[in-house]
Amino acid sequence: MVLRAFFQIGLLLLLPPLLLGVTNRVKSLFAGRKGPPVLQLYSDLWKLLRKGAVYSRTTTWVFRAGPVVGLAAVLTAGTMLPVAGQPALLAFPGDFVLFAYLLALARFATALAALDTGSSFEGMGAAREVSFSSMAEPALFLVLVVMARATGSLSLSGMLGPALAPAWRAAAPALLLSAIALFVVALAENSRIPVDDPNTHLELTMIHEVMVLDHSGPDLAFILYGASVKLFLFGALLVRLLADVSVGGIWAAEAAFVLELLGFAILVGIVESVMARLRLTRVPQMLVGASVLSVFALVLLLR
Amino acid sequence: MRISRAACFVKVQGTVFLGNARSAEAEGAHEAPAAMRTPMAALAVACVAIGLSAWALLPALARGAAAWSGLPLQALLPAAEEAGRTMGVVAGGAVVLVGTVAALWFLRRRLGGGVAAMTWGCGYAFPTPRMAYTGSSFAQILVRGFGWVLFPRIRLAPPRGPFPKGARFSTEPREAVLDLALLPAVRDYAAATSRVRGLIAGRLHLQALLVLATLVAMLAWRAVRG
Repeated sequence: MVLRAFFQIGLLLLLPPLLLGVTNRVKSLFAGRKGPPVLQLYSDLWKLLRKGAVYSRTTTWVFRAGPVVGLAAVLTAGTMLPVAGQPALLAFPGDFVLFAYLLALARFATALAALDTGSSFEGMGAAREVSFSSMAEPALFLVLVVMARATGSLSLSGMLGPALAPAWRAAAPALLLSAIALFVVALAENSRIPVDDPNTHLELTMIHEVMVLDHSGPDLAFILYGASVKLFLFGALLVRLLADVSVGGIWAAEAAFVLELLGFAILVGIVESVMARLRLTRVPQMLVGASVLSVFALVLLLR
Repeated sequence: MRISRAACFVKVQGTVFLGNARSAEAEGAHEAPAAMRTPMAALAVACVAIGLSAWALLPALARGAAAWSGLPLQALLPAAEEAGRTMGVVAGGAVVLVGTVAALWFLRRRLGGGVAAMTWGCGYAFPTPRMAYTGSSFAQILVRGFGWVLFPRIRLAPPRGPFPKGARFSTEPREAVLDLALLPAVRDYAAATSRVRGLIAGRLHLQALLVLATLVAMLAWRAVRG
């Protein structure tokens, strides 16, 4: 039990940067480049943690608290997510609401830090981030409600636990629709193409990245690491929903879970390679489309 | 919706407290004295204490509710204990969050401080509050997106000419129910009743006739209803 808990915490802490490395390598392969090593983000984080930081004279403690609270919130959310069919470290009825609220808390702290700089660029990024998140939120909640209805559980551990396999047999179309909606939400929430481009260098087109332009050194390391943990959380949610790996031994299930997560990272890389970024005015339509898919899934369950 | 509320609080806190001061009065703003902050802090601590100790408070509340309502304690206590156990796990989550924040804050301090400089940005060589996002500009995407329910009042004076003197943009969402339905309805009702009052004002015989007609109508209604 204790060993498994340590393994889950270790997975949550160590694996996330690898996912971004895999995604970037896939994008490089599609572009015909060799690309950075898959462990590049680990090196970047280590380098940033040893660097000094630069703070604007306009900023206050709110700016310094942003990366800390943001990372703490996503790590705490990670303790509520079951890994490989095992119950989460923290589980209770209705924990999916707290899970979503913790992700919102991370965004709240980052947006406040952006506004603390007084820069119009970062104000623009904060406005875009919270606006598009407002549109992604109904889709996320509807997906979670569909999962709760299909499995009869109000806890993430129950939704993604042994009750999931019978739910797939009874309501496969609804769960498939909600999985598609969840993938769209995952791309939006993690600022990936087609919603946002993490590699863009043009501030006027940025959403998330423009919010963190003033962070440097260890603060930037916290933000980059927090972003990778968030991608891990959405990936874990999606692969647990799509693939039941609770059968077999615990360690085999854990290994399968890691492989599926790497598959998720490859899928994100493929999407980013074959799609262009949407115009900003099209993003709300895509997010509303994800919500409509979730509503269809709910209707299928309630009929 | 949690994100919409978060967007609202980010807007308010960001435009009021953060960034450059947006007016001369705001430039001279200072923190409230301790005598004003202490009661707020005490209330906040009490909220946190209730949140963290709900697992212990709920069974005690169940006993109090049973004594007050006369219901048997066995009808309330199991549900309260079950809710208390859940609240205990929720409190554990809060402890994990606060502990993680404290640990990361400590780690950040150990990693060293930083140097002060100007806010980064193209064209940000001479920052003024006019460059900062206003509440209206921050909320523009949401206000426009939900214009079909917010019915915002938009005032726009775009920059004109090669050397524009000034520009202005503001949005003001209105209360869809209060401003657009209830208040107009109340105003129309008040206007209609004042017209009726104007007909009978100063005419005692008409007022007496109105009272009589009302009495007859009520008696008739009572007779019909039995």
